[in-house]
Amino acid sequence: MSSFKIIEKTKIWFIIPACIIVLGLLFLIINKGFNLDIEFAGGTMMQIDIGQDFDAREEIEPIVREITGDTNPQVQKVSGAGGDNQVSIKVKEITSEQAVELYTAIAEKYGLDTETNANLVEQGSISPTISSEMKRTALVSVTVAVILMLIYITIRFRDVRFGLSSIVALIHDVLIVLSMYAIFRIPINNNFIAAMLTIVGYSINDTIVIFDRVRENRKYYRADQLNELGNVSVSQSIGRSVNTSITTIVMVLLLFLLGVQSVRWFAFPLMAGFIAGTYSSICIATPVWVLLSKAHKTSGKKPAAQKS
Amino acid sequence: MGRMKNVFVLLLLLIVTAVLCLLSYVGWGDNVRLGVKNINLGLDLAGGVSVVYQAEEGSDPTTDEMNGALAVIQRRLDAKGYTEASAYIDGTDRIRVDIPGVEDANEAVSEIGKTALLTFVGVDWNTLVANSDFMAPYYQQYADDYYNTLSEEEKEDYDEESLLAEAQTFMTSYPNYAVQLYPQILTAAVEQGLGEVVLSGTDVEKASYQYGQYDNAGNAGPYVSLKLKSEGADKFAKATETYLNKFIAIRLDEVVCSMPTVSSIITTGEAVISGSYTEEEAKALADDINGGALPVQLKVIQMNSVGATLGQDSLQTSIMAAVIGFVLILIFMCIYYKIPGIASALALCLYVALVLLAINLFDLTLTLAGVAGIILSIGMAVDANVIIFSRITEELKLGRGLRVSIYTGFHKALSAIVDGNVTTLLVALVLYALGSGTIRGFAQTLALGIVLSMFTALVVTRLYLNQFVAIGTQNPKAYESMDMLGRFRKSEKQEA
Repeated sequence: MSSFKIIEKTKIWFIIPACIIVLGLLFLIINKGFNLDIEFAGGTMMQIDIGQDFDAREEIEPIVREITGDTNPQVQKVSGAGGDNQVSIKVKEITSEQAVELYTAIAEKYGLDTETNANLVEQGSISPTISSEMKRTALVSVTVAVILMLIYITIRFRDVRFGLSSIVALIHDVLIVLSMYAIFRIPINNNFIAAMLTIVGYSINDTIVIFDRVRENRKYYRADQLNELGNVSVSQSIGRSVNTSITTIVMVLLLFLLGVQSVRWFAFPLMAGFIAGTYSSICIATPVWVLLSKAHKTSGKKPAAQKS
Repeated sequence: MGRMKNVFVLLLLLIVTAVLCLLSYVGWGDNVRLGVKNINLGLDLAGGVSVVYQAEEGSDPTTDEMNGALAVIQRRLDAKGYTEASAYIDGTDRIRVDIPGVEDANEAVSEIGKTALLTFVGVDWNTLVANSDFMAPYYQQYADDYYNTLSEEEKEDYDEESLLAEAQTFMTSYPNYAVQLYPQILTAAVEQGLGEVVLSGTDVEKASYQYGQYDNAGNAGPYVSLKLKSEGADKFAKATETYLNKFIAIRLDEVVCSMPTVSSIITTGEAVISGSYTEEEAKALADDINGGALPVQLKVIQMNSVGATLGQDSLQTSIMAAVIGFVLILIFMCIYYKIPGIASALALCLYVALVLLAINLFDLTLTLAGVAGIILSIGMAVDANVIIFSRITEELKLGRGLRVSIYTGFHKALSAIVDGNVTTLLVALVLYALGSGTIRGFAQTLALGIVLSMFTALVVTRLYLNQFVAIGTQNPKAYESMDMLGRFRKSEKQEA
């Protein structure tokens, strides 16, 4: 059967994502860290529909400084549901009395309704206790999920190298998506954990389908034909990988195109993650498995391929 | 004959699919049970406020104390008319409150989080009802309220005077009902010095639910027993002396829990609140008192309020994206995978209907993240079909027969589908176990979607496909997928 020459070009496959990750790191240094939302940084957030043109820095920031006492508030003009002239305010944690005062002051300045709060699109407040818990939850859940998957794959494939290479692919996907968060300044909030774990699940799922082929084809190839084994397995499943990615990405792309701001910020990293997941299952996972298997063979042990 | 059977099975499958799709959309009966309109929407989609309160640091509340605080919050939510609100304990020292569709988030938040005030108010009811100046507005109100409950015919039998007389008789004879209906009487009485606060929450050590005989007349049933602190016991002894054979009302904020008659002077520091309570009522009252007496200060540690417009916008755009995306996928499947694609399209419709029905049946709350979970699970449902069809195509290309190819295709695809889905299910379980709030909603819908997607891909698609094979064309070309990548593959081979 005809097949792609994937394994021979391993170096190229590794260099492309490495460039993206380095770029992400550069942005991270330039921007002094990620764009943390209040869920992770703590504080109070308000989004108000001003309904007319305004200058966030000149007009609203002084009001925010005066009422909240925060010397470094983040005041930005954003567009959201129902209007393009909205302001997003992020400050350190304030009391609900201060929040009312702030809203009233801004509402009065622009002649908005102060009775019903109709122009207060969104408001949120997170204490530092919760935000540090969020960080811990994110870390713990990703770690636990990865360990469980490694155990499951090792049991199902009876070969720890499959588990290890899928984890390498996984780390690749997570790093690529983190780079996207850094490069495009995507706010890291509650949805971040959901997005990350979705990508983790997708990446593993995608990789497993190819490894399933490797597992099946192993008996047809000799231990010194690892390149051929890899190439054939990838070629057999590449059509499925591409089609599945297309259908899933179409769904997320539509969410990105049609959704409101918070949905878009959720859909964008998912898209990046699905593309990275497809790429890594084809161009990272199998080459890494071949590399690991070759290393194993040269170390003098009996190759796993000949066991059965 | 065999063919007839297949036509019958296919028709049955189509009917079941159509009925379930319809049911999941419009629902059943007047309450649209199981319909999309009946799905619980999270606050990010419906608009509303979500608050997390935490006990002040260092207070180390017990479970009883937290239950008390929760009871108070629930009572306040009811009193404010937030009937759709839900409140529950989160962890050991937190209470989470979700109020859909609330306009003024900040006001709601600060009022609900106030510490409830338990007060005992001594009152001489006979003096009170005799004071017609004081009681006039309440008589008037009772008369109005009573008048409104009457039918047109009955209304003619009453005039203003007889109604006021009725009010006076009622309030004199049934003081307990009177204060339940109009708790503001006691508040006004205290303000005007006609009643006094004899004891407050800080004097109570503990309230507990009891069952048994609660008075000397031999009455038995559920009641609430109060244990007072020593200071409180002294105050209570004095109060029971002053108000012997009169009333002492027990109130939480303004609401009157009960207003027992003082039948003896109590010096033991123990009091009993009795009445015709059910077990639940007595337990709730004990919780209320513990909550009101509890010096647990609640502070807001997390608050999130989403305006109704933003919620609706998020929901509508997400649904539109999902519908368009889903239709595109169905078209893609039918074109690319031909007859198996049509089978999978029908199975995918059933899949979406099943997911919606299951969300409804298990009473899950759909959030924005939950919508994302559903979209991901649709992706995975499609994936399972794609894997199967690639395998079938491969078998057909090897020249195997149609039925054998389909059988082998499903068989060979099974391990990949199971492994892929189980690992994703692991992720969903970890998210559910460790996450909170929206993350849990996402995990629930994802897990549900994965289980259902395996079922529809492995069972429903196969059923449809088998009927198509039995009834329709046997030409293998109609069952092979298109091969977009074949050309690239060949050109690479020529290079090599």
